[in-house]
Amino acid sequence: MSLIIQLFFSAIFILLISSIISLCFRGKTSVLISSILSAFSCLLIVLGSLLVLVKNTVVMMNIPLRYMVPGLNSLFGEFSICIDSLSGFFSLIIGLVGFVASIYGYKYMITLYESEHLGFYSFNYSMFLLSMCLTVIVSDLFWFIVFWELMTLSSQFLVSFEKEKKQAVWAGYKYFVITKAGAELLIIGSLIAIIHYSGMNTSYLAIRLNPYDPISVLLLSLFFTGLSIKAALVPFHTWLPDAHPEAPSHVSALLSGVMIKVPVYMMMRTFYMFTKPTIYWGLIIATIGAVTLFVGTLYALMQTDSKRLLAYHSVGQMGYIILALGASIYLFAEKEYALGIIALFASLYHLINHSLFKSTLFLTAGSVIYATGSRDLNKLGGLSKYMPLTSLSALIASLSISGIPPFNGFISKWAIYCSSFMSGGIILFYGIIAMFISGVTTASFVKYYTTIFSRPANRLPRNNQPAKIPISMDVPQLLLASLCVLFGILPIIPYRLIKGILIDITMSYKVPQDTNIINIGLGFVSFNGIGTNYPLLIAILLISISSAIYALTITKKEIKYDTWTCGTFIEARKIHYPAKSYYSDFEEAFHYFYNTCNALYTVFVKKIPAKILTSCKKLSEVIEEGAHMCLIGLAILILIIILLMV
Amino acid sequence: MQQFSDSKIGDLLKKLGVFGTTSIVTPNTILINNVDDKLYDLCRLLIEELDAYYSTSIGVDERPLNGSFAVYHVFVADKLGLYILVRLEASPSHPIVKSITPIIPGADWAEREVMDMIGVKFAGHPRPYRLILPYDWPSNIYPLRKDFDYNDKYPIKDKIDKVIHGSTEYVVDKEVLEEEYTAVPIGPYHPALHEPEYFEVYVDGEKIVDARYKGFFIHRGIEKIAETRLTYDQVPFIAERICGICGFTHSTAYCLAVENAAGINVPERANYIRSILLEIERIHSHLLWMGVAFHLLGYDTGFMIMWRIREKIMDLAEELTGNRKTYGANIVGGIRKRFDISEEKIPYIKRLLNSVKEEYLKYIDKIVSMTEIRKRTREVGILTHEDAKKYSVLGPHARASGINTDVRKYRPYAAYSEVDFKVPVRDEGDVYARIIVRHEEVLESISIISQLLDNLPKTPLRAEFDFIPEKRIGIGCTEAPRGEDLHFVITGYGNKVYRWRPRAPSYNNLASVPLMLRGEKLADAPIIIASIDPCFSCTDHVVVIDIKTGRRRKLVSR
Amino acid sequence: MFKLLYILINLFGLLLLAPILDGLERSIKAKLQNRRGPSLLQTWYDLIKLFKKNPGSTGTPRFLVRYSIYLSFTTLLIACIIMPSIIPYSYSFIGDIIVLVYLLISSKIFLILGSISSGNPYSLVGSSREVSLSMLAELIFAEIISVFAITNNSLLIEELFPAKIFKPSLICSLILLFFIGYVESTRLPFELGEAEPELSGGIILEYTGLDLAFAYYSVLIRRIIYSTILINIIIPGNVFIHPILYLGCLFLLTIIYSSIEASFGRLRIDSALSILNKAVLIGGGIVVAAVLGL
Repeated sequence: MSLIIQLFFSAIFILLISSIISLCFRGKTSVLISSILSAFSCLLIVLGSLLVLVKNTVVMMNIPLRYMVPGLNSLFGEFSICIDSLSGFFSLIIGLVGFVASIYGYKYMITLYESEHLGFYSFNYSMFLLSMCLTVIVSDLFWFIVFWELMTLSSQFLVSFEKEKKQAVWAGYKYFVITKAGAELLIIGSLIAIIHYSGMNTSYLAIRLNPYDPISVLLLSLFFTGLSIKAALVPFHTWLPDAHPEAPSHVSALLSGVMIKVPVYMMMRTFYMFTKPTIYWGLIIATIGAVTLFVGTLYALMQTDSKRLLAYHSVGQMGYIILALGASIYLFAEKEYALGIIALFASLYHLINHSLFKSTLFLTAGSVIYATGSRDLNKLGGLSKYMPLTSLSALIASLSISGIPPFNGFISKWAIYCSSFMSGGIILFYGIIAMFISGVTTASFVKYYTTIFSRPANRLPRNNQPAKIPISMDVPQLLLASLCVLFGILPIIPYRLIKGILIDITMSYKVPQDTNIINIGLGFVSFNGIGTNYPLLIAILLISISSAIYALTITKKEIKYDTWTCGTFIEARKIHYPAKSYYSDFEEAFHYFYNTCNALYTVFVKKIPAKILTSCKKLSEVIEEGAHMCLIGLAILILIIILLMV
Repeated sequence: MQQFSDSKIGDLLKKLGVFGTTSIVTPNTILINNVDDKLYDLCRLLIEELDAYYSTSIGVDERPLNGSFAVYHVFVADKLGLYILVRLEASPSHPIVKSITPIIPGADWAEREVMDMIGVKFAGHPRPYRLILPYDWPSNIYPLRKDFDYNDKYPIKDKIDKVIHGSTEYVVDKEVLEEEYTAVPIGPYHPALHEPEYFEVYVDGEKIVDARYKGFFIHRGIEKIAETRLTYDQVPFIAERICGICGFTHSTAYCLAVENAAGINVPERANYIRSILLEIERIHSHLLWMGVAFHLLGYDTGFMIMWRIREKIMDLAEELTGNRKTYGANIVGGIRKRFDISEEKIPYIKRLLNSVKEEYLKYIDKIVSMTEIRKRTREVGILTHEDAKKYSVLGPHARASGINTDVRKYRPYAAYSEVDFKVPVRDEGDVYARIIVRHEEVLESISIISQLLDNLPKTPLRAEFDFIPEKRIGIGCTEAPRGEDLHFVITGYGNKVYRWRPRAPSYNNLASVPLMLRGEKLADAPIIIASIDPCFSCTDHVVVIDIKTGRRRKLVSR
Repeated sequence: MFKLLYILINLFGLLLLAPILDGLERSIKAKLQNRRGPSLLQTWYDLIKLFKKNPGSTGTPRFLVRYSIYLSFTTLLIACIIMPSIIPYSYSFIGDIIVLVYLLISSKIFLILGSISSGNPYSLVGSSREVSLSMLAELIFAEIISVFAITNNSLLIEELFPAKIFKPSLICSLILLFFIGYVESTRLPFELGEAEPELSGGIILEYTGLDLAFAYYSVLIRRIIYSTILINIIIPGNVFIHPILYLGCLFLLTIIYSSIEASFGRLRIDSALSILNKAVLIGGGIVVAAVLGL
């Protein structure tokens, strides 16, 4: 046990040091220091989490702070950590993706951002990793919020890193404002929880809510809304497609792959630990998940900017995770424990899968930017001969996210379908929508892969001379891609990681012992009586038979020729097919949907805030008259409240 | 010219001051000379006041005759039954004339052809690029000049000038077109096309933004051969081989032109037989076209049905002429003796026609009312009435866009003045209208043949004449299955033609294809191209050089 | 041991039957068009001729364009192993019906990846159309599978082939399966990916010789797999009756499909998508009925 604590604390300590030291240096050195130290500490986090998960232990630790600041009550007096399977799972994801992104980030940052306040970047980068890690291991509402806000702050500076680009600064600002509003909701919810339910005790263990009580309904709604703003669920997702493309690519990988999963961690804590599952909350969460995956992915289909496409897909895939989570809450409330366990398994499996393949995809998009400086899918093409390893990782990740057997995305999607098709009711319809959206995802990633790597380009930027990708950027992508393949062929590995969580939850809800529904062996998964899936065998058959057929054709000499242009000479750039022409008929067939969403966006995001802004301007003019008086009055009010609570 | 001095056309010419230089060449053709700067006004007035349309332009090397190059613009005043030739002269040292393309877009191709073949430049032409000759033809050799021998050989140019041009303005800027949109090459080898031609269609996904055309891949040197090697009576046979489907029309039009120039009166029976064979050819062509159209719409069953009915028509042709296609019946002055229709054959012919009509009506109603066929042809490939007039389109293509024109009705030739028939006109201008127009023409043709067979007169088959006078201009016009087929002949010395210009209807119709393609879906491109019933062999007959001189051209190059 | 033998009989039986069924279709279409068609074995002769030719490659990367055809073909072979066909045994532990559907989808995706990589504008237009169609077809398939799941309470192949519980919603979903099997198997009103007069070959334009043989063969096997799914749900699983009934129903389905194909022209992509939209709504109604217990 103490080994785990040592690992985690040394990781935290190294990250802290890395952030402070890299402030003192400039340019390349600071990036080097922060990359190496962050990578090392992430490795320690991975090891610690693996130990927690494999040994299925709970690690708790309380550090009293009272002696540091005398006179403080329990509200700020303790720093308590509780690393159970849920925290361990999420910190594993943080560590894994953080490790890969840190190695990738070094060459990327020093080549593309040639010494633009790189010290500030390194500080924020390490702070970001530090705050994310701490957010999932503390077991205290107050400290959770502190590190949550720190996470938002440091990532905002990373998003708006390119200060000269107006778009980046605006995107960072929008991201910060919207998620800060969400955090405010969380704060209010926490205040209510602390004051009303736990008697000023901020520890997780002390918060027990009765889901039918009106105040706790309010509290849960505030919590859920605040968390879903951060997780970019529809209709709060509008910050994500602007913010994620503007950040440096490995930071985008961290944002999409890890940061939007932290709210899911808190949601699981809230709905499984703070309160019991109820039917209503299950249905609400599942509905929001279904709407998110529908809207997010259909919007992603029409994007022609590589990172914006990936960002919209992050929104969509979060919908899958939330849908499965909601389905499991609903099924637990209905006492269908078997299906509920499958749904929870599917949700967590898809969560880790999404981190893996989405990070890979963002890293490949970053490599493309490194090589050509362009994100425009209309102009790119044919890059697989300049960067073969990157295109291999992109192909594997694209096939994984599309759900092609035998990669990892397929197993988690299959589990989601099994649980939702068998549960009946509304969840069945959400399952059908999920299967449809899986097809749309496939189409979108066929577009992503082929417009960048596959079919010939119009005119490559940088004069047809893409830069070569260094090894330190290729290897991380391949590492994540091979994990995608591994998690797909051998589902027992992620199962061992998730098992702890499932056991915790089944024990706390006293699920009867005979619902031993998940049957996992080396390379196959089956749910008793519901479904079966043997990805290892599928992979072996696929590779062996197709290679055998290919090998049989080696005897015949292959004729190499140019693309057929009906017998005439026509320049290659003229027959180039830009990304905006893909699936144009499908978009026309769905134009009702797109027009409605655009109309809603214009009304709610543009017009109403504009109206509020103008009316606020008037109000602020009024207030400015008596501004000083107001400020003093407000300060006195806050002091009174604190004194009362203490 | 006196008999015209009081009429509308006389007034018009006097107004412009060219009455004095106008002469009557044949009873239905007038020639206006010395137009100079009144050219634009003349053209405008001809189109507006006489309701004439521009038909074609012909370039002639008249240096042996009067020391200059000549360009003849042909206007057709349909309702007056008159052909108006406007002659422009260009001196050999400075061969430039004014172009009429800025006011008549339909003259684009004809003027470019004169530029390629004769070498006369047209000042003010918006797109004076090469049209007929291939890219690697040397640039100062003009094949139709009299000093170019038909079997001269020239070295190939090393550089290949690869520029594709359409006959309409660029809707989108050329750079933007090539950057933003995808060029889909339709042709020269494409399953939708029967003959090689090249449409470069720019698409945005499935929607067509613009189209460029390059044709003239199958030049065979027919005009040059006729001028240098063949006698008057041998030319009908080569004229018949201009096209596989409308051969008899071409040979009839040539014979009419020479008979017009020489003032020969063709006997009645020959006229009747010419009309019968022409109508058989029309039915054959329309049935073939319908089969092809259904095949392009994906409906193969319809294709098979139409071609099965067509077999019976070919049996009929074989019974009458001994050949299923390419009859070889025409000769200057009438019909050849062995192509007479004997009395015993007439009941058989009538029986065959009736069975064709029954079967045709049985199937065509069902097919044309299928929802799928309607959905894919209604409102597809629309050519508006104004555009159709601007580009001088002809035949069923024009009749489907609301232009009431038919050579058989308004300028009757052969025996068409003796029969009663309707001219089907529709005003939607889409592919469906073109299908219906051709469908009704088939029924009209069957009725015309029955009427002709009932009243076959007994006269000789060929006119007697001594010789054909030289240096006479003659115009022969027939209504081919695709539109007005106009042959321009200048009779020459030594029993040969001095200049022969067959202008097939597809020449004018093809220019309107890029207009129709814009804004349509790519899936409709083959049916739109096919709906004008393009006959590229007819269009491309113009001279290049004899291909068999040992020149081997690679079709695909880097 | 015997089971392996049965599976191999199934696999090679299907491989043998697929071109013969295509020959049957061509003969029937010819009879309906009043002409003499090719013999039943004509498709086999065509395939053998193509197998003898050299393969060709183009595009970027060349390897992917060729290998994707083999991946596509192999995925279909795995699908043949999973489901019972002639003899009612199969290695159904490899996957349930969702795995089966995803194998069919991934076979199409591999083919599309290969054809887009060749860079030909015709292939790109054809692939874009094909993917648009298959997105909606996948939705309809999801509706059909959900009806199976609800009425028969399982997704396993042993439980569904043949179905134990027949309800009206299940029968309606079988009709929808009949329709979707027709749409997805490159048959005439919906043959938009390869439209020959319009796209001169579309998706399979850049394949030649050996690879073209595999592309055609994949299309034929895909048709037989869709028919097999439909037939297996209906006919009982007795070892003696099943082969006879299966072959009979297969020939009957082929005759029906080819008669329908002979009487249609080709749709444009927007009409095809609107027809599929209507089918989605009908499928939605069937699912509602199934959820309500009908």
